[in-house]
Amino acid sequence: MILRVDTTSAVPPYEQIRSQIAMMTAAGILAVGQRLPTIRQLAADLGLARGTIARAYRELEQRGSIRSRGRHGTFVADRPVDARADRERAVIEAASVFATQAAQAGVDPHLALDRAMRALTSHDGHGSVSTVAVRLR
Amino acid sequence: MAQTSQLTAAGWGFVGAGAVLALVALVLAAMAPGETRLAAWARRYGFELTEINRPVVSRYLRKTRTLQAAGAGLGFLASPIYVGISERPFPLGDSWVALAIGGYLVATVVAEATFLRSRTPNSVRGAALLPRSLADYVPKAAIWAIRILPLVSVGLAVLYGVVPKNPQRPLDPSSTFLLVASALLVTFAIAIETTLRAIVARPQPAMIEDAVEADDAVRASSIHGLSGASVALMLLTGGWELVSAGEVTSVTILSQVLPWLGVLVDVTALAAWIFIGHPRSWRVDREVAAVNAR
Repeated sequence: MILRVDTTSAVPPYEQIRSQIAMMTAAGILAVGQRLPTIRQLAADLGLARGTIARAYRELEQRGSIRSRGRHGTFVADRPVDARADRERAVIEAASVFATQAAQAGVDPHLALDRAMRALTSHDGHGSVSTVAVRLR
Repeated sequence: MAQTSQLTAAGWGFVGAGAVLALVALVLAAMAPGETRLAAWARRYGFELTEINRPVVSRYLRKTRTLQAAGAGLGFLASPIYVGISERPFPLGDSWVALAIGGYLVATVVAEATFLRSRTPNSVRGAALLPRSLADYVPKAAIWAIRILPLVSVGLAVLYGVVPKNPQRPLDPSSTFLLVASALLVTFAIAIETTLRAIVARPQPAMIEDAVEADDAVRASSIHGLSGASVALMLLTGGWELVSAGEVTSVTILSQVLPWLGVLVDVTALAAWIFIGHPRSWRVDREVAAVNAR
């Protein structure tokens, strides 16, 4: 369950964090009720400002993916009834991020798609892209 | 506790044996750990050694064990060497065991503070999406022992002050000295828990699970070492208070029971140092803790 942030990406770090956590909650990789790291811990581990993590958490909370319980911490919210739609939305968001990054890097769309397919088939194990793909079927 | 200012021949013999033991421990610790030792350590902390985490674990074990052996050895020998050379009592007391544990504790903190962890060289950063808490790295009983034992020590200092005294026995140490010592133990406990929490909060940049598991094991090992040594020092203080109270009281039953109780607490201190400091098995399972937190 590793969160990755590319600081050179055109996508802001808070958005990268938000989309990854949204994907993990939608796909069930993060269990309902699971506690998330504190803003301070995640900021220290990623070497980012606390405000960046706070913004990602705030947006996730506004969309109902997570809920904050004060000093008890931040938890993964109960999954929406229409879990499939939520998962699809998460994938669409991830695809949108990928498309933006590919376009800004000037990569040919066909090549980008090919690389995405390779990534989907090469990754394996719990929490990987292929696990998410399989769960979406 | 009367402090010695001279060493007997037996004392020098004890010092010599201790010095040899410390030297052997230091040489063994300074050697790069073999594959068997690495594998045993990884098994103890419930993770698998890989090509990525093996060098980190090896470096950690070598550095930490070397410093701990040096710290414990120096602590053990500090008092007798000082006394032998200066023929004056050692300012920090003459409890060689307590000084050895103190040296071990300081060395553990130094090792943890100076153990360099490589940050990801490129711009892509990673972190485990799992919370960390002190209870993931050490038993809750040890945390509570660090909180409660100093209060027990204050209670024993008060008991020492109020217990009926035998007028024929010198009041050594003074009640005030014991109260100040136990109050310092409270400060020490606060400092230790703050240090333990700082180790837990230390950044953990990691791109793969292997690195996270090894780093968690390293933290758990440092925290166990610190906790074990702290609890042992607190128990030794309690044991000293009990023995002192037994020596000065005029109440027969107390003068008979308290010294033995003190010795029992001293033995428990050594057991705590060994068993809390070096657990047979401890797995940092933050994933389970995060899910159970709901």
